Amino acid sequence: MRLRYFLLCILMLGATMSQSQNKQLLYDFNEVPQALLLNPGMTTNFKWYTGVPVLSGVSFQAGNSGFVSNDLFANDGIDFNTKFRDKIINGMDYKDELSGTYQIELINVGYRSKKNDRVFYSFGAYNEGDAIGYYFQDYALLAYVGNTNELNKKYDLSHLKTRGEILNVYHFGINKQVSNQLSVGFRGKVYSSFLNFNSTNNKGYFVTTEGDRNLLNATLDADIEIRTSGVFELKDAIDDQSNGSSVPGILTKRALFGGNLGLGLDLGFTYNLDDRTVLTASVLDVGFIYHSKDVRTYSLKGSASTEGLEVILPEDIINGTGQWRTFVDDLKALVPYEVESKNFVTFRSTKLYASLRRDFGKQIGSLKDCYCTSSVGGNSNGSIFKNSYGAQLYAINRPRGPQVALTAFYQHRLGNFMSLKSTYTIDKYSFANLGLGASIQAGPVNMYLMTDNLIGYTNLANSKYASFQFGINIISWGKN
Amino acid sequence: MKNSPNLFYFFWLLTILACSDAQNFDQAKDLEVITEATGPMVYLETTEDLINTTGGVSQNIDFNGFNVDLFADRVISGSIIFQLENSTSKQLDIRIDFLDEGGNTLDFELFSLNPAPPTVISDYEVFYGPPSGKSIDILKNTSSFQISILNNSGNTSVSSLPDPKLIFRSSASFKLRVLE
Repeated sequence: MRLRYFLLCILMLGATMSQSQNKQLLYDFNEVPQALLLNPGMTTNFKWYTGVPVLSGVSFQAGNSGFVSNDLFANDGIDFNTKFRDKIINGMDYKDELSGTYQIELINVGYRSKKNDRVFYSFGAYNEGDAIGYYFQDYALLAYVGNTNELNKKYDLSHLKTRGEILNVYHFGINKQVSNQLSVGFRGKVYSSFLNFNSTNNKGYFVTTEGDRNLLNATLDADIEIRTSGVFELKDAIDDQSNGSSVPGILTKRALFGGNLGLGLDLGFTYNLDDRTVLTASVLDVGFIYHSKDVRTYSLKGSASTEGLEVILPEDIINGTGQWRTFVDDLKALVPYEVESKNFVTFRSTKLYASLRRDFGKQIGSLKDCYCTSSVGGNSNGSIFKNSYGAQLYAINRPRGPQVALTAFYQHRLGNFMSLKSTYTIDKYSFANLGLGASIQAGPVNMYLMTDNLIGYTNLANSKYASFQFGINIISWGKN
Repeated sequence: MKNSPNLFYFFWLLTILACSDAQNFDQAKDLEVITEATGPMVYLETTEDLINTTGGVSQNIDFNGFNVDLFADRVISGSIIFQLENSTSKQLDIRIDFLDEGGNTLDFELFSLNPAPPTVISDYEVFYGPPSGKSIDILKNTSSFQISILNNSGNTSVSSLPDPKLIFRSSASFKLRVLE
């Protein structure tokens, strides 16, 4: 029973989105400080800001590229096994993704340099979890259908492709307005990993064919590796509370640089092509984590082909016993299963954003000479227009290669106190993803709320994707 | 500021309007995963010379593939295919005993083969488990086979075929419960 729920949880959790981690609503939303985390080279007109701890940036995204909840759990009277076979086993393929992500800001502070008002510093920490798994199609077929009627079918072992992690990220960013046309930014990051698992470079196959001597031949050619870090110390602490290791203690240690550590950086820029046209781009999480603590690697590597237990007489006539043990040992020697503790490096999922924005409509005001505390947004000239539209590109590197999403957006500003952004995003999974985000400036208090895939809200059971993000900040605007 | 409440009304409305068809997650309890696995089992060959020399052959073969927990706890039903090929000049009776750990016979199969030429190839399929097969417990408790070849044609005749042998081939196919 537990195995069944585990399988379902994997499928449900995993079945997530290409859009995973795409924050198209927040990107280039200059009124919200958290947009600096998506483009450290964003135009900034903050004097300073501080996020409300833990509430300044909360985001969650989940979805499913292969099926919707209704496919399996609708009260439709159809046998669950029939639905499972049709929608999962026969309905998904190895390209369907299984993923999800969340991010919770712990601290986020930004302030303008007193020596140079064109320089803005920001720093903070956030906790992030991210997992992706692709539907392990051939493994599922082998487990669900079997090989009896599938002679000569090569079950592809590369279909096991997954990775996930939970980590704290400590960051410090510098944003500089180089000229009226150009702002650039850099953010350095230190990663402190709580736990990590990954298995992304598997190869090999399993096949059953007609035998040369016996009726059948079974061949396993495997190069499979699953690497973990930070898992077993936690598991042991949970299993055995009496051994002195407490889960909160372990987590606290890992949160404060006691986990596996890594380094990364973000880069970005904003460039004004003219008074009303803005080009932006950023690359995020170019980095790695070196795993040396609580590491474990499971591997199955080798090649073996067998036609069963073979007895050739008269040569084997004296071997009355032990054939089975020898047979099994020989196979194990050819395809050894090993558990090792060896260090490894993981690279983060690097993200790329780019946008082209065109401002139009009435100019709300200019921050160029205004050090007031209520004007928001604007381009590098400090100009703010009532409306903007444009397009954004998002790409993320994934185990099966880059995934790309294209977004068209329209942003409307209601004075200096509210800004609304709507998006329409397409990728290979969805052509109907509408999003809406809003930022409100109530005195020094900034609140934002953004949600994606609005159409999905009309029937969540039929939705493959849902996401939201919200936060509260205290902001002082102006350059002095 | 007068517009800010409108924004939250919108998201509140969104939340209120967010609908979902009724879902019954208890259906997951009904999930059964039963696979059909197949693979080679045992291959045995013996020369006509050996049969002539010994008058018959009896060979014990360890086979713990069926009594390991991974198999025994999950098997529902299945079948074993035996293929016997006789190119010797002998009329042979083949007996396969399924033996438990103590060497006791749990079950046996008997096959009879005519002498070559021509080479005789005979297939036999034996079913186990429901609906009408032999008891699956026979396999679950089997830890070795005793293959006995009884020569009914004396020990002097020699087949006119090249490299005369008795060949025993086998494979097995089973329904296994992966999830329960």
